[in-house]
Amino acid sequence: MRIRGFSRASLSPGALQPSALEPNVASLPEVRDAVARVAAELGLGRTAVTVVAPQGVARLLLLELPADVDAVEFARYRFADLPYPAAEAVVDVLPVRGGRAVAAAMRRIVVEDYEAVVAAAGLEQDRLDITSLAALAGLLKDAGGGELVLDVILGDVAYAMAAHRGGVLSVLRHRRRDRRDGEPERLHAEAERTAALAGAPMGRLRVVGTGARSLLRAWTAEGWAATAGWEAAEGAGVPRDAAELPWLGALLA
Amino acid sequence: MIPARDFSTRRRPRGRAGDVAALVVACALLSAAVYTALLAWADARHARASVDAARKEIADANARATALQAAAAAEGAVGARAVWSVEAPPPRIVQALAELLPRDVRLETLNLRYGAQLEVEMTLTARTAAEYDLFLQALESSPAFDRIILGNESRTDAVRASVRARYHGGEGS
Repeated sequence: MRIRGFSRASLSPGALQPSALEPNVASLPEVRDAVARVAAELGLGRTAVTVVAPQGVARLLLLELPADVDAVEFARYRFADLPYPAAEAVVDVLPVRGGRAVAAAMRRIVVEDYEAVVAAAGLEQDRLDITSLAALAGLLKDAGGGELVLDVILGDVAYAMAAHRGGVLSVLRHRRRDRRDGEPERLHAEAERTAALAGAPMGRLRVVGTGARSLLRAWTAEGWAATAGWEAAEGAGVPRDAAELPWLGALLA
Repeated sequence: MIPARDFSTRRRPRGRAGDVAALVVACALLSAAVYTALLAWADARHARASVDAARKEIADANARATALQAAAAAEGAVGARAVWSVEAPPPRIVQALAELLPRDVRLETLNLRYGAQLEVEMTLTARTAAEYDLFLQALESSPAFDRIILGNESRTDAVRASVRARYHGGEGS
């Protein structure tokens, strides 16, 4: 796979504030202009875009699907304790092996916030995905060799940890990040707890997402083995460290 | 190929376009959002209300279990459901869970599904993530519960989370 174009624009602090409950876009003009600039640099024209919302905007849930039950309907049923009316939830699932699925619920006003940015930037939207699911879809493609694989997916304000073996996801955790001092140690302890919950010694520990490379450096310095979830080959078209881009998982899936 | 997962409010028919553009919206890397909103910890009144609510749920569950037993007995067939309600009445489950709860983790709701297996679904609030993890470790190592599935988990400074597990009374499965 080769990425034909890559462009990135920075936002000022606070322009976008990922939240599962409130509108995320604090400065529509700034975010709209940044999106339009990126689209123009890539020469997207009328190509429909897939919008990938950041981590921390959705509730995630690992489901064991009963036989002959629609996964999305079952997910809606299981999202009974959302902190907003169920009718406001936009729900979809990532089917995984073993009769399971990862379900996500996004509040409609949050979805609409991102859709408004895309429309204001003059782009046509194809789909809207969530970073956690996009990353997980790619990471689960490499199921490992029967050992427990623990994937850490880092976002700007939230992270997910997924434990799986043979491609069967057994534990999924999703939390807000605490980026104060000591985060590498806290995340490693969290990874060990997640492996314990999965009931197996940790085999491989992989990281993707915001700050993945610095986390790997910190863990290496402590003597904790871990690798990037993926690496970009020379000429792959990704100008930045691929491990910092969790949404690449959607392209790998 | 990108799978057809879609959280759009207006889903569009799928095409098979050769090129896909992914527009990733994220915070600027240097704009680490600091969430300082604090979950106000329950005051004594809230705690009392929580206990009262839990007691009421237990009483309701007891009533349902009794009704199920009566129905099963009336039909002359004591099925797995009735057996479970006898061997694992709600107070016993609550007691088993209470033994696992660290000091700063509170059981908010408890749903018991009596069937061929006894499924326990609970929501909890913990003062810290570490306390919540202690509970999970205790639950994981408890002989009374297995097939633990983590549900929603939200966190600011405190953690509110849901967990499902199977209760089998400590005899293994």
